[in-house]
Amino acid sequence: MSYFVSFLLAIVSAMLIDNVVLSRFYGICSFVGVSNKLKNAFSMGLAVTFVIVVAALICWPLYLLLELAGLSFLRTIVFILVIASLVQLIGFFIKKYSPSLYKALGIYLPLITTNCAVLGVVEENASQALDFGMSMANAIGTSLGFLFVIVLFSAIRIRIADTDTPKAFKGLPIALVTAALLAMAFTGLGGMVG
Amino acid sequence: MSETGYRVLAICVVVALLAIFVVSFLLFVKTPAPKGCEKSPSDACSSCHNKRCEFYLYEPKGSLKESQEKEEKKENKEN
Repeated sequence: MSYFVSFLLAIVSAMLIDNVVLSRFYGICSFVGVSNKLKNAFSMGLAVTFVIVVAALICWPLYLLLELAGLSFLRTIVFILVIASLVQLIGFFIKKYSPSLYKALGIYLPLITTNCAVLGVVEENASQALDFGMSMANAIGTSLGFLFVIVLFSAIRIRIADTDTPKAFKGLPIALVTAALLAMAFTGLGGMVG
Repeated sequence: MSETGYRVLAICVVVALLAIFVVSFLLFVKTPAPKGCEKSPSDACSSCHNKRCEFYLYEPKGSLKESQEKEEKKENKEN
């Protein structure tokens, strides 16, 4: 199987079969917290996508360097520094040069810094010793998977908000039940990619 | 390059990352917010409890909901 096909299959696998939220249970707080409105969910998903891809791009060579130096135990701290600095720099640039984007995405910056999906992806790339191509495939697939499920979940929540939900289930309880059902649905995709 | 060389390089990179983090934090904090965004939504309102806020996240319950409804009635009267 050619490397390009493996690359594409890795993206599909990370996006659907091994979905970051519904299978690996990363990034759940922002997934549940920011999915009450479709616009917010889409904005958050896009921001997380960008941060995950760029963070993976930067962290892969850094981990290689730490491995060569015999300092791989420092990887968690280094990854956190990279992610926090990246989000701060993105925040600075959009604050200075794109006020409309800052108005739309500014509130999500702290949520992205603490989103465990971002750290989870770079940590996975390191622990599984993936090469650069597969690391990027994992990052792209994971981030697209997060975007996909947060938008999907948001669309479902909007519909549920208009229905006659029992009082005890209004808001967060029915959202969690929905997320559980979505996770069960996604397990049906297991085995799709060998 | 020997392992010692890589180690020195790695430590320099980690120190540089720390410096970048501090600089990026200072740049972010010192850059003035664009017009209309002077207060972050969490400062401008109790965004968790104001249902009409764009960033409203949670469904208030019990006495919190009652106090919110009271506030909304007050604002409607003032308007």
